[in-house]
Amino acid sequence: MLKFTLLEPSCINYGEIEINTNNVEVVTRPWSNLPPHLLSLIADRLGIIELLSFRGVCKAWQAASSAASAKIETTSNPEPWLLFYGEEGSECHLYNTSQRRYTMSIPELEEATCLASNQGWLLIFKEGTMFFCCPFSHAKIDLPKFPLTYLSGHVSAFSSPPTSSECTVAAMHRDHKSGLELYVLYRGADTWTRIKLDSIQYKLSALRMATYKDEEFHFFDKKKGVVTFSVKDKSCERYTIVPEDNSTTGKRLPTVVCKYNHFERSDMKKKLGLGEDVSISICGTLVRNDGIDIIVFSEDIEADEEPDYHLTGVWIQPRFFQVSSNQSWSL
Amino acid sequence: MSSSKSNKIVKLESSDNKTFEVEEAVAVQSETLKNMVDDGCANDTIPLPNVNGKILEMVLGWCKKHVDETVTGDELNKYEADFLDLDQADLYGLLMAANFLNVKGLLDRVLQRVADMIKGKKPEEIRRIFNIKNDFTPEEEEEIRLENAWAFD
Repeated sequence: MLKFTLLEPSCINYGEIEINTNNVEVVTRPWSNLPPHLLSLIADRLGIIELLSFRGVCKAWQAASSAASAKIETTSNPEPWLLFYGEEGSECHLYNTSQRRYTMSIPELEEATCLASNQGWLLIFKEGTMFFCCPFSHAKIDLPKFPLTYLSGHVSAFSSPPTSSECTVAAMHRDHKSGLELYVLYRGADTWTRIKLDSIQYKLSALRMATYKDEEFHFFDKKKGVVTFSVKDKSCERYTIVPEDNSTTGKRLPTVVCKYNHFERSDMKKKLGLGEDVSISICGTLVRNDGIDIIVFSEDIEADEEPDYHLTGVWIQPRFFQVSSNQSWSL
Repeated sequence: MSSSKSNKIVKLESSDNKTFEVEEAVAVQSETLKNMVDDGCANDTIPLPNVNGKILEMVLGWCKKHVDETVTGDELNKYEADFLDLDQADLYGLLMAANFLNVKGLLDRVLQRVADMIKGKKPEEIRRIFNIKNDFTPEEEEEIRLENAWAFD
């Protein structure tokens, strides 16, 4: 069979002609031969479901979209999805912002605890190891060995995507023996830094949530206590949250909107068809909406009836991060 | 010598030898043509072997509409929406031309139109619309299917 490329006058470009011994057949497949940079510009405009479709069309489209991450999902609709895990092995249930349900297998979340969620990345603790995971793409970035094999009374946060060179992870942990401890991991480091916090100086009730903003981690307890950790100075401070009035001389925390009971206030139990006998713990996240940061706090929702069936969930932005196989925590 | 409001005419020739004459203000909506004008290469007819007459006429129509100060915002929106109501063959031609001629607003709109055509479609449907051959091996196909099963049940 002869094959050659021809510029046909009546159509734009790049037709492939296959000629066999009997007849001439024009076979034009321009769309799969679209320049990769144009394909990637198209892929950048796709939400997560469309991106998956796009990547399943043909090899050229799949290759051209290797940098696309469905970024439009976070810019067009900042509301996070809700992911429930841990019920049945690796099977997870996912709800989008209209409460449409999806079922997904996420082996990374089997027997695991989600510690933090931010812009599509999850920080996971599983059998003594800690790693970052993007559940939609199954991208995984392992972290150096965490000093503890368990975490209790804990909250964690990370500053930026684990692929960025400035990513810092902080986990606060409390137990009756060692008291309050802060573990910090800097990007590229191969060990965690441990900071012991005096429980009286940094008095906090039960820990509720950790966040990061403007080069500081903030650890909130369930009352009005906040401990900050400055990444630059490597120092901690303790604050009490007070109502804002003009006479306040205390430190101003960065302006954020706090949603303390997002799940309950959104009436999610009813919307998801969950019964009164279900108790739920949900890991919170940070939502970015038009330059305003909204902290959706972690929640523990109690069951109103016995028996108590427990669900574990996490708020997550649906993103499709693709990392190369040699992507690691080291710089 | 700059010519901001000159009445200079730019002559263009498509791949199928059709000639078009447009005012410079219209032509320079294309960054590619603007660079030629700025470099003083636009005095003779500019050959465009990558763009056929039908598509070039469409692109120039777009450019003309966008320099016409009598056109209202609403009229322009409607024009752009109607403009992009094309079959995939013309859409392909327009995409390649908008890219080559670097007509920024047009390229954005065409890219978005293609993205909109992909919304809500599974891979098989997309292949049908765009006449694309599935070149995955059965094993690769199965791997993709498993990975994406959650989205397309």
